[in-house]
Amino acid sequence: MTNLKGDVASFLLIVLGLLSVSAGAQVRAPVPSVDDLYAEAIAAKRAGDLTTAIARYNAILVLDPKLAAAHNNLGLLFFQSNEYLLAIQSFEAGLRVDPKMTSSLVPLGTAYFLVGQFAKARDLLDRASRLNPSDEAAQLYHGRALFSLGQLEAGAAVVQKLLRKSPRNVEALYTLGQMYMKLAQGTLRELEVQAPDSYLTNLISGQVQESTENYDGALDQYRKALEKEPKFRGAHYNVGNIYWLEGKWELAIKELKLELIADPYNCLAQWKIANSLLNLSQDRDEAIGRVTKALEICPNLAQAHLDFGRLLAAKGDLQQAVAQYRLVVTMNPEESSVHVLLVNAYRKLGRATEADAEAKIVREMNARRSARESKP
Amino acid sequence: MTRRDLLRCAAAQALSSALSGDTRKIPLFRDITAGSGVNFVNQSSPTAEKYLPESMTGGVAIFDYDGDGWLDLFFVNGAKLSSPMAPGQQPDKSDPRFWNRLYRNNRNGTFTDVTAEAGLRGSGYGMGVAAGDYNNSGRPSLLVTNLDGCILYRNNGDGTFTDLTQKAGLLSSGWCAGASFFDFNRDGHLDLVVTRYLSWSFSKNQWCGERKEGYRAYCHPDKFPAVEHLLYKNNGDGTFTNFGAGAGFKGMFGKGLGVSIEDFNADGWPDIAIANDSVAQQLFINRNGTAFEEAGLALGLAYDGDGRAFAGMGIDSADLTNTGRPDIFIDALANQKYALFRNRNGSFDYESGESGLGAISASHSGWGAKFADMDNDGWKDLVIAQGHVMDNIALTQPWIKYLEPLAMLGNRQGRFEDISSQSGKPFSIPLAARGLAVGDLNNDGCLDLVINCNNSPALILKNEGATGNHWIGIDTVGTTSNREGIGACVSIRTASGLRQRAYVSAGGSYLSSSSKRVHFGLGQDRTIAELEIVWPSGIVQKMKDVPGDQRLTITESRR
Repeated sequence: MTNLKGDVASFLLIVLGLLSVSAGAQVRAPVPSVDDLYAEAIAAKRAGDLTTAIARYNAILVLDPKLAAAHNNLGLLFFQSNEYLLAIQSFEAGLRVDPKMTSSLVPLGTAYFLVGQFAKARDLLDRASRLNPSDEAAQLYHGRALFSLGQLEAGAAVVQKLLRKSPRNVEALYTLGQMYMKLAQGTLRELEVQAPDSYLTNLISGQVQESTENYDGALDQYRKALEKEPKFRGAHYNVGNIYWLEGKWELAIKELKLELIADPYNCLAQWKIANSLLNLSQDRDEAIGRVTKALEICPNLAQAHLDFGRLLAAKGDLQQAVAQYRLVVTMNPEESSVHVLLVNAYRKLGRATEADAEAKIVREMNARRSARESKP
Repeated sequence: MTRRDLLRCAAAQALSSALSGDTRKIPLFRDITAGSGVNFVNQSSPTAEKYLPESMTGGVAIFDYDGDGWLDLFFVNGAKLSSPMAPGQQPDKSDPRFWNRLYRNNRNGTFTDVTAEAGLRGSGYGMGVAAGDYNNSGRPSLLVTNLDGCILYRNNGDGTFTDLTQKAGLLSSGWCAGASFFDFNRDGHLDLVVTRYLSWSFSKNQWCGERKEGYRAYCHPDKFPAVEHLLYKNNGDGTFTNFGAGAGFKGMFGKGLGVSIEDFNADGWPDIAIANDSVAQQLFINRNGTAFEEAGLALGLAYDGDGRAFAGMGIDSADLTNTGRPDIFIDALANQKYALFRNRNGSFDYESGESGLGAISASHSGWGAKFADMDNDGWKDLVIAQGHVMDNIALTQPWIKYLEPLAMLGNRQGRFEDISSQSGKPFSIPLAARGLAVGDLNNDGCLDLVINCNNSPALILKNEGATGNHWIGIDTVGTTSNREGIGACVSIRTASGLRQRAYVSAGGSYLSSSSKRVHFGLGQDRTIAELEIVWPSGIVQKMKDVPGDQRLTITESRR
């Protein structure tokens, strides 16, 4: 939270700078001493001396209480000093003088959020968001205010909307993650109340833990679910999948095979057995049988096509491997890994031109990815 | 080697075999740090800011700086950091706790700290080290990589070193990581490659991980741009020329850590393999000593078997199957697999699964790594320094460990078996191990290990368990070639017909420099029927019926 406040403060300082210019324009003409006070306030702020800056703005407002921008600047300084109640007073005083000074709405709403007055925060930030739909801070804190008021779905909807516009907004991603966790926890609690001894309680708890990569915790819950209800579909798959995620392929194979006894049409289990065998370099023929079966059930399972290709390549059937890789390219053209496998296959086939073409695709994809990652 | 050492080796060997219920030779190691006089503690200065270098230092070198035939040790240290670092503030190495350290081998199992008199306290935040006799003086110098550039310490031959970085033309910038001396144009003078990690500085640091108490994490390298590595050509007069741009390094961006030198395509010219973190691994193929061509993707080394990038950190190369071709190992982070690339006449196949490494390594994170015949059976084993990069990884992924024991993987004719649990207590103790180097510290024919552990004490592990087999250690001395014979290719055939090959290099591992002495285990053979050295000069030298169980110095013959 400390850093979120820091980010908001950084944003607000920019606003402060802009508003300060207009404040300067307003104070300069009628009362000359306001100019001096304003200059001192600016210098103090630049030097990090917020106490002096606050004192100078207070002095300005004694001389001219109708300077709305000075109220706003003072509010921002209080905000930066973590004095949120004083900030609220200043912002509201400024808005009383000039109700059209809507730039105060976001810091005021955020300050209300930070002192726990979520309903006021929600209303102010909702208004600010409507006035300026591109204001990401307004939307983020509007979502958070809704979330804090228990309006989880509404809060999530606001943050989702923000993320559609700014998918790399890490604060929004973090907030949405928190919301989903809260929603999941609420659902889980309700399940526990309704059916405390049900395997479903363990199952959902396992899924929550799996989603946070707490594999040991998830495994424990999935095992408990399995003990309570050994015959439900997915019981062994869940356990086997955790082993697969942890790279414990022999254990994964054992559980996934048990799952297939209960559910022979689980194409993911078939594929993951094949993938585990591939990782262990064991029984290539069984792996090919498994992946073939997986693709009979789920012909569009791209990962299975990819592993089928790898298995065929390992057996030396490079032409057929290339055919499988090409299918994957059709299904998922932006997946660079299959192009790497194509480079290797073409190289071994002695098809240098095609290998070079695939290598060029990989390099271009990497360059695009690097460009995306290096954006601030 | 004393009679006591020999008896201890034999006894330990018998005990190890008995304990394992196995007739195979298992190397047994003992931690001798406490009585050795080596009290080095790596100081990485962990801060609340989670500056990435904190978790990545440092390297170690095993080299014979005084030429007495006994291997000495050099440890790279961090420096004092503030939390946060003020704009323009530099890491502070003035406190002796933060000095790099040189330890002279006393030839009796102990070492003496000679840092101050040697002039090797260092400056800056240290990362790695390379040892090499760049001026053919007969005494190896040191190149220390720092968070901001490199420092060349010339060995003066009298126990002291002099910082000649500027004079030698090696002033550099950026986060330098791995380094290795090698003679890329075979002109008899050692050139230098330096990997660089990221475009990172204290002011560019970011907040990564969750924004709650204790959850701030070291950033993934994806957060920072890649950089070009550095290649320096030795001018033969004690100076170097930055040769990267003209030699095919320009535009070849990586996030480099470990570096390994070998003649991967058997054309007689040394190539460069670089372990990159979370981007494509790189293989720079030497084009007749005039330029390099990056061919990692084209030759099958860039990505893992799934076609994906992985967190390459430590690297080493050696002929694992005794087929005459050097394979490449690159370790990675947990959730990935350590990568083994088999050499197929100059191109590579990813064979982590086939080699047994995939199943062994999926939940581990590797750093320093070296191939070395720890049990002297004629097959090169693999030792790996382990531990996750994030000290709070257990908060988010409890099944992954920050501290991990070292791994000892026995080579069973090309397939690896995890023998860590049988290799002695040091292989059961969780560590934040980083740099790792290999060398025979007591000249008993058993290869020992030295490990620099991040923000914790270093370890010296004495190999007590392999002397049931025979061995030979070969020191190469170049005359036409560079003085150390770096880049010479040594091949042997033992009396029973086992063929082996080794390349003279101090490189490989993670930010570290191992003994350049070539070591072959001979199994039950007492002699080498044929020995051949192909020197970098092209001179080929052959010997027959060479007795084992000795250190042999071979000087390059005249044409």
